[in-house]
Amino acid sequence: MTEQGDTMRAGLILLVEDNLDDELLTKRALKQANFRSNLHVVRDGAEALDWLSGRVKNAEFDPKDVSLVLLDLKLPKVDGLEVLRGIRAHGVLEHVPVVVLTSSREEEDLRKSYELGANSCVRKPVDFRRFADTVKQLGLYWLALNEPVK
Amino acid sequence: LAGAGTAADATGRLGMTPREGRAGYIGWVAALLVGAGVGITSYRSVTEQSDASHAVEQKLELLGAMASLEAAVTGALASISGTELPANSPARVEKQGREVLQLIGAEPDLSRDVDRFVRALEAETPKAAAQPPAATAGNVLEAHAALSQRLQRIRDRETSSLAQLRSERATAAQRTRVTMVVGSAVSFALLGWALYWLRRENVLRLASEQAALRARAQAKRAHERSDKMLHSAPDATIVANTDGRIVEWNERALAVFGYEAKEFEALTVEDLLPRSARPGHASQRAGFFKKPTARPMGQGRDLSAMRKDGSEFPAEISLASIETEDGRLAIAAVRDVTVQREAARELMRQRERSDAANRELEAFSYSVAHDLRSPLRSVDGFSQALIEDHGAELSPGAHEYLTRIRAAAQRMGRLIDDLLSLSRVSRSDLTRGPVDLSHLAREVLESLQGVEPRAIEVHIADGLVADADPRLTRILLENLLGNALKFTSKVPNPKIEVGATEREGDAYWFVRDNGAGFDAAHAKKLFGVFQRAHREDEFPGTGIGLATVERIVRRHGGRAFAEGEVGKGATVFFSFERTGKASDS
Repeated sequence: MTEQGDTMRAGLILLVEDNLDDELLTKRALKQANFRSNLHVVRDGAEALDWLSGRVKNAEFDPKDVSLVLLDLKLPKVDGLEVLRGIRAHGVLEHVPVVVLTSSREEEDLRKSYELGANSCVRKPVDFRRFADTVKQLGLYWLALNEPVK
Repeated sequence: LAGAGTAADATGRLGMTPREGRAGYIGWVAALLVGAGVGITSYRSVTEQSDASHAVEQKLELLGAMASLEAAVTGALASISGTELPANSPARVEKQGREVLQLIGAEPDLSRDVDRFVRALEAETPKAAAQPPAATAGNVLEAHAALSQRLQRIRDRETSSLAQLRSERATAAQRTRVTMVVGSAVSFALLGWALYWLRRENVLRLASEQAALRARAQAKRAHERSDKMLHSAPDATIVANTDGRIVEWNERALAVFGYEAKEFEALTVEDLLPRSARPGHASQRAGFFKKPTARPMGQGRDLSAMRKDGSEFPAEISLASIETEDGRLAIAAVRDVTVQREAARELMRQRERSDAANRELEAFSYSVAHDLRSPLRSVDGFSQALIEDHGAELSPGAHEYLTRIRAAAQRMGRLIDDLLSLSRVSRSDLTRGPVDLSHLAREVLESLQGVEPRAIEVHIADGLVADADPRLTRILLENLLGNALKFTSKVPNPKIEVGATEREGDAYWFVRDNGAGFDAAHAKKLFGVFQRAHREDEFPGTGIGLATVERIVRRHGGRAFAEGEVGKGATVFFSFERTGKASDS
């Protein structure tokens, strides 16, 4: 993370993503957009739930610091919708913005995501330039423009 | 069954009225009465006449006897006053006197006068020689005068009585004649009248009998006809009364249910049902008779019937009702639909198989979306990263290859997206409603053109309202207007038109452009998946857009087709309603 882009609030972005390529590309996009935020990645639903429940302690990261969750729906073990449910049931993360990242445009998935309290649903484009742009827009909006509950 | 009432009707129509029938009998009776009257009257007249004749004879006899008496009296008187006196004179007078009295009946005066005269004569006769005639003749003369006078009075009386009797007799004879002539005439007239009526009655009766015969024959023919119809009916036909008892059936029914005719007679319709359907059927039967409209039985249910051997077969049963002299009857036509139902079941099985295959395909499409797009993103993303991070180390050739890799990955991404869109069009629910095509077309065009629209002449007719699914209609317009924009991108004065028109009597919406167009020979192929009219380097595309359009209108029951010419533009027509050609498109 560079020191450029002072307008960006510092904060922790929680990325729930099982695909290493997508993780790398997301990191690259965030870097290109000059976000100062830290990124914490969990690679499956079960890990995400463990982390949320506090069963797995991580000295570096605290749920209190999370200012945005980027959540892939299709996850191994426990799917993204369950993770979303867990986030909304979590005392600390109850009001944290959650953006669902999906590869499909399955309406059922979108409907359920919004029902469970997703703040936004975004489809990951194949074109990396558009993907990078999307990630940038998301960060700008949710980390800079959006006023979260403290 | 239908001709049952005809015979009775015919009799009533062609036969005599009761009044007409009675007239003949009245004639007969009147003639008999008149005849009897004439007979009685004639008998009485003849009797009267005969009585009168008898009385006349008696009178004549009396008058004769009186003449004899007078002669005897005169003779006796002469014998006294004359020379000789027959000794038997008084006795003769007395005898004649008795005769007269016998004939005349009680006539005391005459009897006395005769007696006096006889006694006077007797007194004269033994002393005739001794006594002077003059002295004795005085008594005789006196008695004679009285007697003569008496006789004269009686004769006068009897003579007038005789005349009266004769006149009465003539009157009676006249009356008899008149009575007989008039009575006979009247009697004959009445007999004639009666004969006329009886004859007429006979003729009418004959006519009515013939009419009745004809009607019966007609009814019989009608019955035979309906019988034949019943028996040659292609379906097993059973007629039952309100109690469910089978009163009529055809051969087919016996064959279908496997019964003998005499067995069938003893059955009720319930006996032909599977055991499971029997309870409750009686109430259903009552329900039918309450509202006996012709209808298929057990709508929406798979009905079964049971043969004599207890085996069941799927049946289709149509019901109707008829009103007869024996009350209301129900006619049931039973058709063994084993084959049809088996076919329907087979169809259902195939449909289930195809549905399962479709669901599998959907699941496949879904995973394609997710699982194929991710690696493509990696291909594109890391190619880009290579260019960005190591661009300086790469040769111009390597740069070009990486650009091609990225283009291919993106194109594949679009293909996947379009295929998914097509599959979604097929799967999503269709909710029809009024869709403002004019408004929607403007909106879609605006969003497709983005923030920097090209200068395009756009004509969108106002007030185009379709009855269609709004979401699918948007996808359809996105594809058609997207195409129109794409194919007009290289013409100097691009024009896009949206409107309504008519083709071969059917109404269509259309989207027209003056772009690249296409060869009319390929018009039909355009709507197939992956079918393209242009090379990728001319106009990029996946060849799925029009297939999606086609699928959308198909789902609405409508039709889509295209007209075009190379270099002059293309028009795509579409409808959401079933048109004359929808079925064969």
